[in-house]
Amino acid sequence: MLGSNSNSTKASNIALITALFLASALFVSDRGSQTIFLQTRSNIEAVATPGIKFLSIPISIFENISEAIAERSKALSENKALREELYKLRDYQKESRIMELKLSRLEQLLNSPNERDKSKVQTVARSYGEVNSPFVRSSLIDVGRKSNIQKGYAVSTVEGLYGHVHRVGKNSSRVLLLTDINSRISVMSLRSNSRAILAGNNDIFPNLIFPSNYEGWVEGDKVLTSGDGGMLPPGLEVGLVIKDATGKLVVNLNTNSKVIDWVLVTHYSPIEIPIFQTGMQGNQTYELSSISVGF
Amino acid sequence: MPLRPVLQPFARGGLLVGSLLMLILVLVSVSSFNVFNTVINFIYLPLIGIYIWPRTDKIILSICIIFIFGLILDIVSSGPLGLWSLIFLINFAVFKPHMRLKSLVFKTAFFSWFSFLFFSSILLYFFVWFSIEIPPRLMPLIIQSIVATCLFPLAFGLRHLLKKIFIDQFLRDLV
Repeated sequence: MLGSNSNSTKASNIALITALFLASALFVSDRGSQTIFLQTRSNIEAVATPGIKFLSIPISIFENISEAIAERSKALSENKALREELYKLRDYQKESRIMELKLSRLEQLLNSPNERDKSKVQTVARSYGEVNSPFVRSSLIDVGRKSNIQKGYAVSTVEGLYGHVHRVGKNSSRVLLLTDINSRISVMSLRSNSRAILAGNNDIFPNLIFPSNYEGWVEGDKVLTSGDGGMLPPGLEVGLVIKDATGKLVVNLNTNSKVIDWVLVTHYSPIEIPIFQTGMQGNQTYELSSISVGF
Repeated sequence: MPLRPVLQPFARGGLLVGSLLMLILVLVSVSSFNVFNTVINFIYLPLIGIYIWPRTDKIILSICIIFIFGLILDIVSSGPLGLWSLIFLINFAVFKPHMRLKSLVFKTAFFSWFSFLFFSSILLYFFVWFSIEIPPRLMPLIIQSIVATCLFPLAFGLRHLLKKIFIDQFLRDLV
């Protein structure tokens, strides 16, 4: 080896083999689960976030310029379309107010809890470092435990749902995007109320799997979160159903092809598992989940 | 008189240049660039850092730094731990950038970059397949390769700039 004697060659070979072995061991043991060094991962992300933030400044400038060019080119046609939409929306607004009044009256009569009455806390965050690599689709946001962010919180943009918080650090969090292969959320069709699971596939159009009824899903359906499972709030806009090249129904996300900079993190506590109280055993109570294990 | 191996002189600060370049490339690689409704990522960018790793006699230190940067990239890109470390180290072992005989010249470096890129892409393809248990789509890998190749001159220029800042002008050719 140039510039070194045989002893240092031997030492460097040993170092290289050791490093390769260590990397292989980490890779094999972390395969698919990503559960090793969770705390360390969060800490390193927290340290790296300011660096990524700083280095993404010139990128953001280029992005804004390209967006401005693209928007200016379609401003006239968009303006016309928006004017038409505005006229339509005015009618919808009138209808919606009447419906809202009717709904609240009915809810009062039935004494039913109102989903909208729940206080909806949202945190505004800046999204940095969206990773769209061949094997992962995620993003970093600059809020963490300090802003009371918790794992599972929905992350959306003004267009619609973007993903959910996957890992929380002190000042930053990792967001698992809807397109990631590990992402699974329960959704519904606004038209038919049919349920399905939106499964990411590392592509820009996630799949609809396990639909409650196949007839309930057609091209053009608006997709919302259903809130089933109690993990995400219901009614968040997700996208539109389209057909892919093979004719399979997939979802064109509202956030597709958009510059994602500012996001909203919706604080939503998952619905708690009810405590099941048995009448026969006096004060003994069981969690429903622990009972279901027995079956 | 016994023959002693001729020690090639190495410029001090070479490792600093390599490490700083890797740090910048790793941080940039997890940024995304949305231009005209197309999201572009730079996840292959740190490979350039390995390819143009400085010539150095501190091989063990180089291995440690490369291993750590691989782990950092795995973490900030939220990928499986060890994936990039493994790819970096295999490339380092196969292409031996620290042992190149001459200082890097852009033209020759750019042309031999393709073989490095091809080898890295094959490694990544199979490792990702092993990790996510389904074969990854080829198109993103090809796009990443093109993006990295387009940014190669920029990374090379950055290395040159760092060399100018941290290494004495008479020793720059040794890096």
